[in-house]
Amino acid sequence: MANLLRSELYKLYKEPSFRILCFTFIFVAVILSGVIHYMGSDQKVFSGISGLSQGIQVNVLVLKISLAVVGGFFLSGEHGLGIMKISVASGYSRRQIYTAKLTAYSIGIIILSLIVPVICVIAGSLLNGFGSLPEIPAALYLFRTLAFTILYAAAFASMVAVFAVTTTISGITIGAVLLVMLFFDTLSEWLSGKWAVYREFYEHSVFKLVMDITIPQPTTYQLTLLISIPIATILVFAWVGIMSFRNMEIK
Amino acid sequence: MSEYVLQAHQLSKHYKHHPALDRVDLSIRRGSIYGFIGQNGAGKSTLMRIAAGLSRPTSGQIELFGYKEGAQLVQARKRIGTTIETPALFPHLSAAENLEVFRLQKGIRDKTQIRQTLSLVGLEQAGSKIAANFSLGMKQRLGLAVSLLGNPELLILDEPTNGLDPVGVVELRELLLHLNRDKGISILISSHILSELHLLATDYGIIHNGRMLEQLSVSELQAKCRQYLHIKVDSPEKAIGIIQEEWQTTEYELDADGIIRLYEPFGPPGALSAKLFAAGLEVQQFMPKGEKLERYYTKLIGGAANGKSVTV
Repeated sequence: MANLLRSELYKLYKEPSFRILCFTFIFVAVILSGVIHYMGSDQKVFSGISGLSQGIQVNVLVLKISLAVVGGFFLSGEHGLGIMKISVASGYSRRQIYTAKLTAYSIGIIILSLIVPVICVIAGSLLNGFGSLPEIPAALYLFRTLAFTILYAAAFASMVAVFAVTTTISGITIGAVLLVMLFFDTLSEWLSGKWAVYREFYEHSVFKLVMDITIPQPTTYQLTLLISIPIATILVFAWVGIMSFRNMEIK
Repeated sequence: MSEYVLQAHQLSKHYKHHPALDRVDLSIRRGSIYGFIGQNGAGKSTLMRIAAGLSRPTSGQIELFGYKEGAQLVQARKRIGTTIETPALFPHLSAAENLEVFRLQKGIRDKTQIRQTLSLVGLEQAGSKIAANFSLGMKQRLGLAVSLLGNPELLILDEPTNGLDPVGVVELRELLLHLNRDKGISILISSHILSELHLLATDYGIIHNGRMLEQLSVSELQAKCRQYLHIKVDSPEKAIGIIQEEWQTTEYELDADGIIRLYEPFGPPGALSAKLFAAGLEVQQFMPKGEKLERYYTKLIGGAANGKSVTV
C-alpha cells in the first residue's frame, strides 16, 4: 500500500495540470495580495487575518476548478492512457488502488486549496502584521480555518473521486464536475425554498457548511457539524468509490 | 510449485447476450511461450484481460501459479507483467520517469533496474526522451520495459508486434526468446503475424468465436501439418481426374486459384508429373511443401467453408 501511495504521489508531482494550477494559484494569490494592499481603504488594513478571509473567499472558485481539472487529468486520464490497466494488474486489490488514488488526489486538492489563503496570510502579515480578532486569539482562528480548509478539500475530493475514477474520459469529468460545482448551490437554494426536506439535507451537507468555516466563534453544535459532516462524507464516498471501482471493467 | 503458470477452467465471459468467451480451458506450462491465435474479436484479449484482473469472468475460474481465488490470486499478479492492447505510458514523462512510476509501485528498491530494463529493450539512449515523442515501435518497447520491471515470471503480451518495423519484429522475437531461455520467463503472446508466432511459440492455443478450438505443442503441430504436393496446371480438373485414376485418393484440395494440394500418402512425385505431362497438361508449379501454421489455423477455424479453398 505504501508503494502504491508513493507511486501515486510521484504521478501527482509530475502531473502537468497540477503543476500549472499550483503556479496559477501562486500568481493569483500574489496579485490578490497586491490588489488588496494597494487598493484597499485606510479603514480596512490588509493584515494576515484579513488576508486569510480574502483567500478563503477566493478559494471557493479555486476548489471547484482544482477538483475538476486535477480529477479529470490525474484520475480519469489514466484510463485513456492505459495506466489503469497496469495498476489493476499490479497485484494490489482494487480497494488498495482506489484508496491510494483518493489519498494522492486529496493531497493534491488540499495543497491547491491552501496556496491562496496561506500566501495571502503571509503577504498581509509581512505588510501590516498578523492582526487580531476581538472574539478569539488570531492564531487559533488561523489554525482552525486552515484545518477546516484541509478537511473540506478532502471531503470534496472524496466525492469527486467516485466520479473521476470511474469515468474514462478526462473531458467528461472536467465538464461534469465544473457544471455540478458551479450550479449545485444555486439549484440547492432554489430547491430548499420548495422542499423543507431538501433544505435540511442541503444545510447539513459540505456544500453549505464550507461557507461557514470562517465563523469566528461557532457554537458547539455548529462546530460538531463542521467537523462530523465532512468526515462522514469522506467515509461514505470512499466506501461508495471502492465499491464502484471494485466492480468496474477496466477498458 | 505449480507446473502451470496460468490456467483457465471453463472460463466464460458474456457481454449482454454476446459470449466473448465460452467455457474456455487453457493451460500454460512453466517455461513455455504460448502463442495465442485468433481473429479480431475471437476472445484473446478478453482472456488476457481476465488473467490480468481487468475484467471478471461470468463463470469459470482463472488460476495463476496455482492460486485461484481472492487475495492470493490478486497477490499472484505481482508475479506477472502485462502489455494489453496498447502500451501504457505517460506521454509527458521521459522513458526513465515512466519506469520510475512503476518501480515505486512495485516497491523495487534497486534504482539501477530502470537503466538495466531500458537497456534490455534497446532504449538505453532514450531514457531522458519524452515518451510523447517516441515512435510507435519505441512505445511498444517501453511498454514491454514496464511489464519487465520486477522480473516477472509470466509475461502477458497482447499484439506486441503492432507498430513495429520488420527489424523491430525480429529484435522483439530475439528479446522474447532471450527472456524465455535465459531468464525462464513464461510468455503468453497473441499476434496476427502467425509466421512470427511460428518462430517463437512452443505451444499454441487456437480460439475462435470465444471457444478454444485446440491447444497443441510445436511437436503436435508438426505432426498435424502434413506434407503435400503443391501442383498448378492449366487444367486442374483434368489433373484431378488423373490423380484419382492413378492413386485412388481423395486426400487433396483445390483452392480458388486453381492450386491443387495433394496430401500424403502419395506415390512417387516423378511418376505423377510424367503422367501430367503425358496427358498434355502444362505444369506451371510442382513442388513438395509442408503445411504452415497459417493454413492449419485457417482450416481449423473453417476458412475452407468461407470459400477460400475447397476441401474435396
